[in-house]
Amino acid sequence: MNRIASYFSMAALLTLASGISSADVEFSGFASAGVVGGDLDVPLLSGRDVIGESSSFGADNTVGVQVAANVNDDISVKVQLLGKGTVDSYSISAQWAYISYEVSPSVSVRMGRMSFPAVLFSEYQEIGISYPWVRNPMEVYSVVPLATYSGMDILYAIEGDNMSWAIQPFIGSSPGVQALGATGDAELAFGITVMANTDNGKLSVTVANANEANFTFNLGGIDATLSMDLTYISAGIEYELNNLLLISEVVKKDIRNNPKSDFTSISDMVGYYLMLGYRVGDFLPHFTYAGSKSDHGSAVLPAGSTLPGVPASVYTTPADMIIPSNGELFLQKSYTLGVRYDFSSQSAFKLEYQKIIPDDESWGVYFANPGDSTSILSFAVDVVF
Amino acid sequence: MKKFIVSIFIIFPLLFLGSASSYAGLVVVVHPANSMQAISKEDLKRIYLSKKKEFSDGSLISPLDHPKDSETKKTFYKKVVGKSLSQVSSYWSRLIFTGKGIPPRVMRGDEEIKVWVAGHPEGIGYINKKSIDDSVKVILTIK
Repeated sequence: MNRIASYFSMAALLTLASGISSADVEFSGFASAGVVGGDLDVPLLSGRDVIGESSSFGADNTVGVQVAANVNDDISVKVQLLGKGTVDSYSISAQWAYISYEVSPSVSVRMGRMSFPAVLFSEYQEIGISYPWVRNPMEVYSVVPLATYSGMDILYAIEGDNMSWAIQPFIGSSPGVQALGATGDAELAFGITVMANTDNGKLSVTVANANEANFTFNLGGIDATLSMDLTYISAGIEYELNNLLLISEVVKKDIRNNPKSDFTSISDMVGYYLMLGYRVGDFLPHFTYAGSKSDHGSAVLPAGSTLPGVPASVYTTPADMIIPSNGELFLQKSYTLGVRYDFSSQSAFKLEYQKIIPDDESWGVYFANPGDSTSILSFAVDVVF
Repeated sequence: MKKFIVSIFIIFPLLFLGSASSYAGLVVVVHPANSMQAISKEDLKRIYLSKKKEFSDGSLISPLDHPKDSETKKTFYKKVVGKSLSQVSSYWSRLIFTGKGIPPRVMRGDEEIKVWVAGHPEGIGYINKKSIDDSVKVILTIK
């Protein structure tokens, strides 16, 4: 149903777009290319994606092309196609496709497909040049597996003398998204972001809900579906004082109405990080400490248990199964030391060393043995055009 | 030898003159009929970051910019916005690809900016001091 609705909105967008003269159409885009390496014996997870095994090119590769067309002074149509590299393939999707109506200089309404805005960088997570790292801290960004939603939002901008406010409520539904081996969707997604901006930075608070979110996992060849209501509460700050740059975020994921609350593979969790950087000309060396925690520890599912959404007649666990403390992101801490160098006004080079230490009995973000730590080295080039 | 010392004394001041004249200052210009007589650096910064979109009378502002990587643009953003062009580009990448802002219109240089501002009461631009003429009104000098 959601898919049909999005096809209709795409058709409407294309019809609108076809009536626009070429003079009103603007193309722009962004791209990232990278290589990651380290002592990985298994796929490593980056944000919502698996980025690769051992040294790999292509893991952080992203290309986005945006076509923006102004129908008139108040209405514009934007479509953003996103090509992304995963372990061994590329996927192309319409990340954004929406009609924007500017009601007044301080109020605009957007309708269509947009990013699910649960954390600070949600809306420009794919645009590498907009942030200091090769990829956003996974302890926070893996917590939100829903990438996009179809619906509408309102952007209110309130101007003050020394401070401006941006208020952004949204409502819609989230289509299927592949995340860490699970397919997820949400029937109803809604929330609000309130952001305070000053000359030196911004402070943002978001509450985002995904109701009737369904995640289908493949466990030993059997699809198990978990259905639940999710609430994300996040706060983020980005602050710049002279050459000093500070970015920090905390996100809390609450699960409600989980029909299998005793099944602890998906649980409430908190992800956080603190980044400090210091600009030296076009160089930005930075250090990030990130972590995640959960109230639930690992659990053992005894032999003969059923899986959520799978009848006992189809499958029961043949032996005791260890269920890690979180099915989407295993708990860990990480230290990242990196440098970003802007070698032109529209391109940046990034180099990063990251030490990842999983919590006791936790698997960390890579599927090895619980408790193992690992180091990775990442390199990326980001451009905007 | 004496000749050499004398020429150093002549050439050195000339060198300084040369470097001083390469930056004679920038000015901010609007349409002559615009009621605005002056603008603060803070307001100007907010206009060029798309945080301030209206003049005090409620009419929309159309800011104009110089081509990417131009020296004039580099100087303006350093002195007014306090950001390097790469920081400015990162800033806009967040707004452009999320539909939250439209960057200033890019013109070819001082002459094109003057012509546009002279023909549009909503226009605002910055040009080199030496390009000033009667077609536009100066509301701020950036030193």
